[in-house]
Amino acid sequence: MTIIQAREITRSFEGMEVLSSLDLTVEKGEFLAITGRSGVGKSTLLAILGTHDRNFSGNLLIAGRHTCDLNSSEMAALRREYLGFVFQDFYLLPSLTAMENVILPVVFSGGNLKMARSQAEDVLKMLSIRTDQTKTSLLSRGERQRVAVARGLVNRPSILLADEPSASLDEESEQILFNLLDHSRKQQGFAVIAVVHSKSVLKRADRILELKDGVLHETI
Amino acid sequence: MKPSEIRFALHLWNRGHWRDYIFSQGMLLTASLLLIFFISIGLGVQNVLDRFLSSDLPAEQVRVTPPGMQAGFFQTETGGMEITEDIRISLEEMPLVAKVDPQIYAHVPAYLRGHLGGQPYYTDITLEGVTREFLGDSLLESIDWSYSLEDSSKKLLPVVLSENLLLLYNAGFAESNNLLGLTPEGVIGIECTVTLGRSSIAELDHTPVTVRARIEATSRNMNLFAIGVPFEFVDQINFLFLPEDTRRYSALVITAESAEDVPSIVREVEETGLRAETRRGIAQKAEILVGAVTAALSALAAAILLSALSSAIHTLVNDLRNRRFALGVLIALGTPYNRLAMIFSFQIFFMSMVTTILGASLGCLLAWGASSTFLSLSPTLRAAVDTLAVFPVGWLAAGLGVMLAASTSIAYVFFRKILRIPVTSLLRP
Repeated sequence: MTIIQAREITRSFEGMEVLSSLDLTVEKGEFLAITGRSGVGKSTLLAILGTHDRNFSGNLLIAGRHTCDLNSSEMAALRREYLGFVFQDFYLLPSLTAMENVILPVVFSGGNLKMARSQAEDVLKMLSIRTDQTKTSLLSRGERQRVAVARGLVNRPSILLADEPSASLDEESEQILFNLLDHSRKQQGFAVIAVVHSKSVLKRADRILELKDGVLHETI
Repeated sequence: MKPSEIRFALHLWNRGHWRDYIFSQGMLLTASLLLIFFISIGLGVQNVLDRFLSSDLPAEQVRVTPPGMQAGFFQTETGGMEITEDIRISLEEMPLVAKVDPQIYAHVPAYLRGHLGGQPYYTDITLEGVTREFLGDSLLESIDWSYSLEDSSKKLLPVVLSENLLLLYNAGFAESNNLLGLTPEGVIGIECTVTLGRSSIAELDHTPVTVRARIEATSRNMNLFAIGVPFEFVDQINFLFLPEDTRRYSALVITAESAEDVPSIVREVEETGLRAETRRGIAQKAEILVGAVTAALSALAAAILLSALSSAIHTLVNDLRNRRFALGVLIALGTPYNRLAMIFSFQIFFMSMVTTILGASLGCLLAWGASSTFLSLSPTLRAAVDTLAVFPVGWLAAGLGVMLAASTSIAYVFFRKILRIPVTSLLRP
């Protein structure tokens, strides 16, 4: 089942075309790895797929819905319902605990807090993150990254977008993180679109696409 | 979104950041404290002046008195010029004059005897004969304001007591003799005897006349200095004891056809050599001055309050700018812009409201304390007024409400502007 369908996506910055009529289809439960040289437009592509960047031409369908037709409230609802994000620099609130960081988006969105807590507990447990009152500022980098992943998964998304999630992790922490992600993906059936460089992570991907000259090239 | 959910969201968002707001909230507290203090004290002082002014002449009236003249240590009563019947008639015939009401003093020694709080009371007095119109108070409407010596066996002499006299009694006589003070309401109904032709320092050849009297009302009218009784009675007494004297008025109150005519009447009266007074006295000037100072200080405090509110908004806006990554994450994960703007506006509203109410309460407390302290230092003022601080709670609450609503709306616009920054920009290092 197709969860993302992008057709002829073009994005320019100050007259320079970064993405040129790019096509991409992502199936449910798939692990898609995107590689490419630095500055080639990987993060731009992820921002477009995550509906954060809307200044592009072309068509983007998420779960069968044309994103161009949505207003900001509908777009926010689409993100809550279908999308999860893991950022390279985590962006956690350091004075909050892991649990509080994970449920924060739900708290601000006015969602069901009781259900969010229950789901957060499950995700945190699954990712082996402590649920005590320790502030995230006191956690190790690997633990913080896992909290960021937990926050991306708490709303049970259909697609998890991750921008170099293991960029600053050592090899062991990277393996732990992707083991957990693989496990969750198999349990929940969400698709993962991740910008990665590590060869060991690339081996885990169902498909590897290299972004070059504004278009994606499938690699073996 | 329920209030408890908003509270929880703000509790999480602000954890570790509450100290950022201390300065702006401190400014807001101080500003609201100063504003309420200046307004309540300013209004209180104006109220006191208003009270004195209200007992002054109405705008369309002119009080005419003989000019005083100083001779060595002595001040002559009339300075050589007296207000006679001819002068009264000539003033009455002046253009633009609607009517002339006379006042006359009893030119005979007199004393009063009675009981106050069970204690015998004696004092020398001067009676002032006034017409109902002279006092111009509606309080005389229900009182039978006619009395002559022939009535003395049938009814009591009606007396209107000047509150100025009551003030002198409370602040001076009662204090120095350890007696209880009297309220205007408390003296009404007191009966006494008034003896004319005798006092503790003088006596006339004529047999004294004693009548029973009753205090029917009190008056704040500044034209009345001591004890007002019906004009005809004083006129009769003067003629009885001093038959060779011609009638001399102590004052006349001219009522102009309109307040605009007063200046020209004053000019004409002064040309005759008499003294003309209008309500444009020191009290009115003081009221204008106090009003101006109060307005200036209140405006200053309001400006400080506005600046403090701006500072509070600025602090939160800056806080949001500094935490743009966290904001970006919230938006990226599906929090609608409107909801975020609403939550942060609520924070401004709630924090400002709590601080402002606290500041306003402290301002009230400070004004009340200042008033009590000042009055305790001035027994004369304490006898005249209850408080120097006035709290128009409804108006203040409405004003602060409007200010809070306006600042919250402005904050909302600012927050929406910040939140409109694309997520990609918010998340860019």
